Amino acid sequence: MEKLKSLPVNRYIDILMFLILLIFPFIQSTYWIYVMSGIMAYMMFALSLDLLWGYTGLMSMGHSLLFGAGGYMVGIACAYVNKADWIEFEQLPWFLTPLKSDVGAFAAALILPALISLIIGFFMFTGKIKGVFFSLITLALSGVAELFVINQSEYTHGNSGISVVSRTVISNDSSRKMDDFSFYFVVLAALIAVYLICLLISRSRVGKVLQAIRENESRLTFFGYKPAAFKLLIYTISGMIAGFAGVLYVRVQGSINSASVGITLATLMLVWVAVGGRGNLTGAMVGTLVIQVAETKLNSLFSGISADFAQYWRLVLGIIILVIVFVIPKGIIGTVLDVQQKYLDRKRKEEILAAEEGQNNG
Amino acid sequence: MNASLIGQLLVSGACGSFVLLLTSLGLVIIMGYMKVVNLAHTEMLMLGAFMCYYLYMVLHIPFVLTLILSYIISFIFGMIMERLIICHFYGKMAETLLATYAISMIIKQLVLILCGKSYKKVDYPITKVLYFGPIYIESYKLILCGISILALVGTLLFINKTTMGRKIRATTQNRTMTECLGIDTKKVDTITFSHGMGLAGLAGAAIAPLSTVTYALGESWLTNTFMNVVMGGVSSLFGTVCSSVIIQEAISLISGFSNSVMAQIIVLLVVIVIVRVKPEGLFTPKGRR
Repeated sequence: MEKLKSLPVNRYIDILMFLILLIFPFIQSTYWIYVMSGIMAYMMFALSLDLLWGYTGLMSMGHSLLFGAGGYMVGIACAYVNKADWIEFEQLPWFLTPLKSDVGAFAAALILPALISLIIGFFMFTGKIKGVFFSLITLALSGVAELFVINQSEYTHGNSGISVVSRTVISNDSSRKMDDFSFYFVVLAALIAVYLICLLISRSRVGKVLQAIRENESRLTFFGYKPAAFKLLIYTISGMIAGFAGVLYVRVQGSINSASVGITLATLMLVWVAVGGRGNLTGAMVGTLVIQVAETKLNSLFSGISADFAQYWRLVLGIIILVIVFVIPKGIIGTVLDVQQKYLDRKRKEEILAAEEGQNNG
Repeated sequence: MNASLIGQLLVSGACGSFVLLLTSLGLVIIMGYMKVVNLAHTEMLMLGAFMCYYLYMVLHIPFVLTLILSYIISFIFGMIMERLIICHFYGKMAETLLATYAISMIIKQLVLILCGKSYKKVDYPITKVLYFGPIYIESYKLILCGISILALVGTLLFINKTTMGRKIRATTQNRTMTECLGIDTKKVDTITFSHGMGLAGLAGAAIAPLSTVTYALGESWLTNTFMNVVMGGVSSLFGTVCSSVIIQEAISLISGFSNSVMAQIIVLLVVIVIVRVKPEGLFTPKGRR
């Protein structure tokens, strides 16, 4: 009980949120179940960025590259298995052969993003590229990846994307499709699993080293740690989680297009994490939930008035970021945690004062 | 693949590298002297292109005057932006990135809402094409090279020869000491930032005839300009010149053999490898900092 009480307030928010998400499909329409499944996939994606940005201080501005890499592996596999009409090749080329089998496609969707982040990370972290240059290079990578996907239309169907992705757990066969309701729980289970993994990482010794990298990298080096190895590790793990989130998102949506790789998504997720607050896992999830639910709600509200909702929404998003950065730079959850910390500090001070008073009197 | 084609690719690559230099100059200055990454830079290019369209095509102001006007308007815009927003975030990297990104998003969406999605075309001020044997150059591109060199030389003179430039350098080297000498470093920051934004606006106006002017123009320059800054480094403008030439010549040559997307990917990967070896940029002044 004492241990439960000492938990920071954001863990209660987590538990509350998961409980709400658990009963959500029983009280909402199928459309909202579908929307919420997509948002939960995004929440996993946001968690992967929080590990990287919030805990390690590496602000990746091109994380969607890894998300899309995972998504496209499953997308191409589904297009091949379900024989989409735009496919012109008979056999998969050698570098895509694992996609023939269901498990192979799933493994490829996890391994490819991990491999990409491993290679990029190797060059960047061992080469002492610091701070903002990491952000800029990942931004450029994501921009180029979008062009690449559009360019390789033989496999990715270019701009229009792949729209025959099956909503199944592992299988790529569309005939074994699940309905929105049952798939919602698959995504929710995956989200909780990813959350627990992230929590485990952040509370382990590795997590402590990662936070030390964020706070003072040179001092950590002085202690005999190799920051590059830890950065590489977390970038790879984060990439794998992003790829996994990509797979689930693609399966929920039933389609994938070049926007899933591009700068728009990569920067949108910065907004999620910044709004929610970074470095405590809850913030990433809450931020995603708030922004995406607001977008969907407002979209349905305004779709009658103006057809160009998206452009006004992005304007509003820009203003939201400015307000957040000016007013609560730590994000919603970060501010809540600050308030709790202040309250605890004051309580402790009062206790000490009271104890001293008692000593003086007695 | 014959010699004249390669020659043509090299020549167009050379022109392209001056264009790239022009478009990334403002970014490098703001980053090098203020340690601020201005993600709104490419949107400023887009605004510059729109300024060129409205001033030159609609109001029929002479082209040279258009360029100067767009520099001045962007300078004022940068001044407002710095005073209102950027000056609160010095030394905070993540906040600066988010704030400048927010600004870029707001600029882009405002332009989209106000000017619509339609493509606008800016005519070439001169349409003459020069032939050197089998190789041809559009003369406007030569003029662009001239503008680019002028902007570079002008900036170098401004930074190295004027009193203001001396103050800017002093502020970069030692802010506290500069303040002790009675120099208003806030004003210096504003001028540096505005000059960078002004150059971006100028570059945008200058490249407007080359590309169709739309709200999405900034995005197409994003990768190349930032790649250029990463490779060239921010400590010397000479590094930026060299990396512009290397990047554009490579892209131009590789696109000749393959396609432009492949060229960009290969160049970006090469840049990552180069940065692995030289994390501070191609040319770093020795013995300082």
